[in-house]
Amino acid sequence: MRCHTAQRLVIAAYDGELPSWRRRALDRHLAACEGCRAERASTDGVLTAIDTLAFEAPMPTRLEQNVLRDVRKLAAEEEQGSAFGWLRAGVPVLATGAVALLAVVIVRGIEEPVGPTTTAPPAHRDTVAQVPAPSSSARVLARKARRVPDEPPPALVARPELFMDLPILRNMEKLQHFDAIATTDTDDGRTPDAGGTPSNG
Amino acid sequence: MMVRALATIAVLVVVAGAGAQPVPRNWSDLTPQERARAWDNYRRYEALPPQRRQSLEDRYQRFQAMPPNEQERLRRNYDAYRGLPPQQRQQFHEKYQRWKKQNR
Repeated sequence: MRCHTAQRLVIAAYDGELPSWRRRALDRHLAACEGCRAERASTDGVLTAIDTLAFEAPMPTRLEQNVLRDVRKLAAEEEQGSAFGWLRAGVPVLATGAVALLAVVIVRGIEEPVGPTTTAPPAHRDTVAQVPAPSSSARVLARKARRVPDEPPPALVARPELFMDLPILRNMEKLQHFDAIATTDTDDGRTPDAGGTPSNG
Repeated sequence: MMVRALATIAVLVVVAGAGAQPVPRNWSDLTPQERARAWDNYRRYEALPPQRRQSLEDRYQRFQAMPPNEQERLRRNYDAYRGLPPQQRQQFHEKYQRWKKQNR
């Protein structure tokens, strides 16, 4: 076996994915090649460090409360901002409506000097008023979704499930043998802890 | 004769149902939260060395080839694993390392 092949197989060996004959060949090569042994030790160290990383760190209560308070504050500010924004948008609409009304009155006054004048309501204002303001939760959701680019990479679009299931794939062997691992004795001979109720089928 | 035929049909239906693979979901089918999660994981994936990516790719193929009930079992186990407090998770990882040595 060449060094290049051995180094390629080291990760698969770490994950226990090599067939036994391949594993033996790798072990023979490692026994004879100091460089590959060093490479393997380094890879094992990195992969072990990655595997032990927590997916989700527990959040201190104080930090959680502060974040939630800031989110509520931001949402309230946006709510206010959107109300003023509506007013700002409403001023030109009202002005346009008033001008239109004045124009109608003047034109009608010229064309129909006799009879009551009819006032056309400014159509724009009704239209603006009927648009519902988005709720705070909808805006928070929208903000989250904004992190994803409008045109996600083709690799992501082609197989979104690969990326959604990535944590499962990373821990696949652990998850496949969950019960067997949970009932494995620890080094110091402590009583095995089942740690949950998932089943191995 | 009739009973045997019906029993055969029933067995075939059950076997076909158990082995049926779920239809892969399209990007457009995902909720905004699912898209955000997929996007985060995509960026993590892109940062991995090529060998590690290939390894995950191989696992994805194997995962896709699993029957739905096996996929579901892995998902349940993952939920349980993720729900472990950090100390217990670390302990589980140590057990995993030991289990791997025993099973090599």
